Amino acid sequence: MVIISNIPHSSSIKVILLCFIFILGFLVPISYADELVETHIQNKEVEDVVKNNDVKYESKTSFDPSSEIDVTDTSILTSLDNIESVKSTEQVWDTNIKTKDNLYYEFDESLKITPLKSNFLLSSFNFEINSTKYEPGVSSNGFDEYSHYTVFPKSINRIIRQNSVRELHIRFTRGFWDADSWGRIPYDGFKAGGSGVELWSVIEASSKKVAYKKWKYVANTLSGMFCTSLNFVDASKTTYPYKSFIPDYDVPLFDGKNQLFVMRAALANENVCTENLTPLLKLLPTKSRSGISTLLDGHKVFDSYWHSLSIDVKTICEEESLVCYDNLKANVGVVMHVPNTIQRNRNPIPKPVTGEGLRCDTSKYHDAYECFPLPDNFETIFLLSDLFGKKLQGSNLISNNPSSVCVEASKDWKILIESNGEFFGTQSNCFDLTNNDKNDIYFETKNSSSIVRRDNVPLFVSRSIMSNSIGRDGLRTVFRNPTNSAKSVLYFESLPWFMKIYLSTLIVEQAIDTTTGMKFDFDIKDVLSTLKYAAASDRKRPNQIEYEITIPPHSTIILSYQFEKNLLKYSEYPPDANHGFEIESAVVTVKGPTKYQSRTSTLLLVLPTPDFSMPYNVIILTSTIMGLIFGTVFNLLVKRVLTLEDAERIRAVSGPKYKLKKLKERLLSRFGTNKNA
Amino acid sequence: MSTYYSRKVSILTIIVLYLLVGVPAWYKLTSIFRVKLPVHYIQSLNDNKFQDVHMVLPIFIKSTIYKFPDIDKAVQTQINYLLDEQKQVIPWSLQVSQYDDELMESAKKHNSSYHVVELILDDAVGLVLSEDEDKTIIFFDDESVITNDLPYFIAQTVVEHAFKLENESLDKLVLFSRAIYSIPYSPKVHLNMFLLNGDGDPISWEIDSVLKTHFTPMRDFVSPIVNFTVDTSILYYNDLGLSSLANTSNSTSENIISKLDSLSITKLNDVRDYPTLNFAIVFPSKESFPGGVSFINTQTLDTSEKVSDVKKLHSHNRTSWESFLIPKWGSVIVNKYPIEKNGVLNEEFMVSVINAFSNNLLKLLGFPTALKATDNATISTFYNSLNSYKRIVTLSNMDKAVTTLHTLSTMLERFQNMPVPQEVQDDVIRSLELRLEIVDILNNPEIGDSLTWNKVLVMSNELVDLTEKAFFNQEMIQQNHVPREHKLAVYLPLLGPLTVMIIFSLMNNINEETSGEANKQDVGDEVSITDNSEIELIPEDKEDSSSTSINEDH
Repeated sequence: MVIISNIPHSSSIKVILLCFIFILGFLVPISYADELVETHIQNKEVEDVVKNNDVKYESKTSFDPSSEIDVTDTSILTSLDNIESVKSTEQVWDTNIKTKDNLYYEFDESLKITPLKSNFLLSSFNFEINSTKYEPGVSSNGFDEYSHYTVFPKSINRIIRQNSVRELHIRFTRGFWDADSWGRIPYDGFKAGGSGVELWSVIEASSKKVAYKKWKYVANTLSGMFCTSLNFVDASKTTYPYKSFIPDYDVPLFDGKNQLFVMRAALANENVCTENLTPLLKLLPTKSRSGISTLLDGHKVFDSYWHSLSIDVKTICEEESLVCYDNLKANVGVVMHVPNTIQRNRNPIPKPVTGEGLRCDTSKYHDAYECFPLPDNFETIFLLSDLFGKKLQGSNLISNNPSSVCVEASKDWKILIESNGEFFGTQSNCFDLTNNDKNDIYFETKNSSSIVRRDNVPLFVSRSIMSNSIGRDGLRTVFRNPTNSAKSVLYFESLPWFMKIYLSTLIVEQAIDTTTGMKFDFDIKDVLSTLKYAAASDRKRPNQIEYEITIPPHSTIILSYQFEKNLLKYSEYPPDANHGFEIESAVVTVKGPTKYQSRTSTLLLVLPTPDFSMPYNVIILTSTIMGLIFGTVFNLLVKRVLTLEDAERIRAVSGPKYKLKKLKERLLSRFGTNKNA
Repeated sequence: MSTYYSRKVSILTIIVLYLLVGVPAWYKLTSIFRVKLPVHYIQSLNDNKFQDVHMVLPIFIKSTIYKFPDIDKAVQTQINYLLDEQKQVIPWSLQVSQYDDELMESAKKHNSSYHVVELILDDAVGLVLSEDEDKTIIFFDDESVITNDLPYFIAQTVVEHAFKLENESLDKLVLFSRAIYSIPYSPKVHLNMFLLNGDGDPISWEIDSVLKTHFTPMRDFVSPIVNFTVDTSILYYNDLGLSSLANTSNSTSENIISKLDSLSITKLNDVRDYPTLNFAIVFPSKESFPGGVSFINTQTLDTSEKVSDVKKLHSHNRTSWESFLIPKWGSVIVNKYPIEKNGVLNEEFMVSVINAFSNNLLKLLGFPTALKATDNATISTFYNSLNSYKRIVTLSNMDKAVTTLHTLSTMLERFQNMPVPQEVQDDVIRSLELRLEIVDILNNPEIGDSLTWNKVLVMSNELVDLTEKAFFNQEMIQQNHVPREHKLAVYLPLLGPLTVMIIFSLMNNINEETSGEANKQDVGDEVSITDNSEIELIPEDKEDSSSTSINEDH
């Protein structure tokens, strides 16, 4: 006050104003920084906690999910800019090459992570690529025709262009999806296949024969590209679906004279492994060097409970401009059991848990020798890199949209993104990766059983083979509708030609109301609205059954039919014939109100197996024939029939005894004569 | 006696069966099916591959102002003189005729043409090779007519300039010194053009417009010889293994190709039914080469090698890339500096690159050295020699076909176990007939328009295909894997015992017979002959009893 009184009035106002501005200027950044601090957990402790996973996470700063901060707006980028500027002093560019603003390609990628019940975690990697636009029906042989590829894989493009493929779908799926506890299959089952490999395609061709030729070419090429056994797809495995797999939009037809053919084949006993994943990653422009695909490592993806790789290619035409482009969607879905995976990553060679590490049920008797283990621990802290073995390497750089990671978790979960040792969170648990650094996702919860409620499965279907001793076997399909509404279902089944089906035996074996236990008296005609059946032809065509069935609410319907097993030719048995023949999954599509597709598990059919001792039999038979011939000829040429006396007489003059005697006589006579001499 | 007889009969029957039925049947069933090929003819063809070829090429002289009624004969004499001086490995000559309007018109109707030498009166003597048609324009003055130098000048021009390629190529035994660079000739070739970035930042290139303006004309023009299908692609995180050379300071541009990652290079290959050539523009990664690739030298463009319009663009520019030729694979352009984020290779950059590619393309396709753009000749001179090139490729194909046939006959001679199916014979005979058809066309002086050369080229390609089809006959190759030892291993266990048994039984029978006869002579009454003709030896001590017993038996 003294100071103010010593200066003129006008000046004092100025000083006050200046002070006010100064204080404001000081306070505003602080208040903004406070907001940041709320979410910006920068303390070293978190890092320590994360590093020593076994220590319980205790943050001194509370996590407030209400404030949302885009990672791009934080100091990370500022520091990155500095790095760039430091580098740019050394970096030399070719000045002849100009740059263009807004240069990007049609590529998108995202990762969706969903915690599931019982400490499982679903990671779903999505990639989408669009090709450059082209005019349909223009030959590449014209002198002015050039095909240009930017991000769309050329190998796929060649397959679809050469063979007039309008849609192409490949599925590699293995493992068990626990629909009862995990709910619906990701993407309502439309991105997962049956166990093994599955391929279907819409091909434009002038006739079915031409279409099959193209289909065979596609299968063979994909077989080489994805290191699968798709080259074994032939007429005896190819089906022409009637209603299932039919696209629900107008598929473009480049030549009005042609028709569209939908063809499908599945190989149930195909193993899915790294050799299938690597080609998929090669299709991506990022080549798994940046973006979310950096996480995809074969060792981790296939060391899981359920995994599915899918590729869907579609040709889309714009009606106004009469130009078309190809759209490719690739998806990799993995379900991992978090504690097991972390344990395995930490100790690749399993070691027994130490006495201190045992979690015994204290309500029961326990000591150093006896322990009733507790169920899984619901309290968990882990990083995404603990599961996949590496961190996310920045974003893809060529797309307009940055790579994104979204975690679909309940409020009991604390989800943060870690970048350069700093942790950030958002309300939606979605993170856009806009930097080029290594990122990681931090998961923490005290109750891992608290998950986001997924939609219930509208229909459960299971299938089994019934064997009896009469000679005919049966195939039983159980449909269970747990919902309140009746479900109209499309059922598709392809069975190998060596299963001779008796369609006349198709019956409703049982129909029960699951709530009351009451049995319905349904006839097959009451439940099936359409039935399409293509009978098998030996080695030429498989059985194809397709029907529409309506399942009443809260009920179970069991359908069954009988079949007979054919004998195969010797060479048609696989090397492990005693294992049995895997029968591909049946495909069930719930038509409404929300579409849902699921597949039954595969079946194992045991056929009568020969003893495979052909080489031995051949040797035996040949030797017998040779022995017979030899014996006969020998008898004819050498053997003589004599009386015993004659034989003895002959032996007496030509046998060894006689010869010995003769020799003795000769010697004696010689010595005798010498003596006499 | 009857036992001897019956045994003899059975032995003889089996021997007869063995020799007359068994051996022929065995031979028939196990012998290899080999059709006969005209081996001697193929051998003689191989000794002198062009023994029946004397290529006669018609040319027509057209004079617009003066009429020279005997110019054709005079020029013919001079040309014959010039050609006779040469040592011709593949004989060829030119047939000079007066310009024939009707013939030219009819050729034109079929979109074809003959080689025309047009004489134009001018102040001085000179010549021009037409760029857009198969024509030589000769300017002459009155003095050259008076001194009668014109025929010699025409002859010299035609032999040394218009038919330069024949003049230079047909005196060698090897038509194309099929350099290590070039791929085998194929009427269809696929071109892959790559823009490779060592980083993942988006980049682009103005490829479509540049290809359409600078590559399409060439593609169009060479279409009678080779057709291209072209596709371009941008690949990220791929620098052909250049980053592995980041720490090597002693790399030179000469050995860079040997150090590039051959796996990355082969990965770019595209599997097709026909040959593929690759062209790649590589930008190094900014992390590996922040200051640029040390072993890539910046250089001023040698404008003399470029087409005229490029000359203007680049006359004062320095390029920061070097072009490398990878034999039988393609060409790589390695840039010194990494490409910036959002970098776009503009038309100016691309034109120079495409021209470098075009030059390398000629080498990779195995075009004769006379056509190389580096010999101060631009693509326009190539246009003029297009028909010559077709003829040379035809002759080269004939050479190749005869070599293949000779190799086939040599191989079949060496591998006597290899079956020769009927198809091989058919293909060989058809290819020899086709070769003769080609020879007839080449030798015929009356036909020689551009369409004929196209036809001959197609026929020669077919000839090569036929001979290769004969050589790589699937059945022939497959069956060769069943060696003679296998057959022996199968038949020996059956034949061995049978043969041994027959031989020894025969020997035994002969022995028995001879010893029987000898005994008969020596022993005399000690041998008794029974009713069933058996000769039996009776021991001395049992003489009485045995004779009794024998008598008793009967």
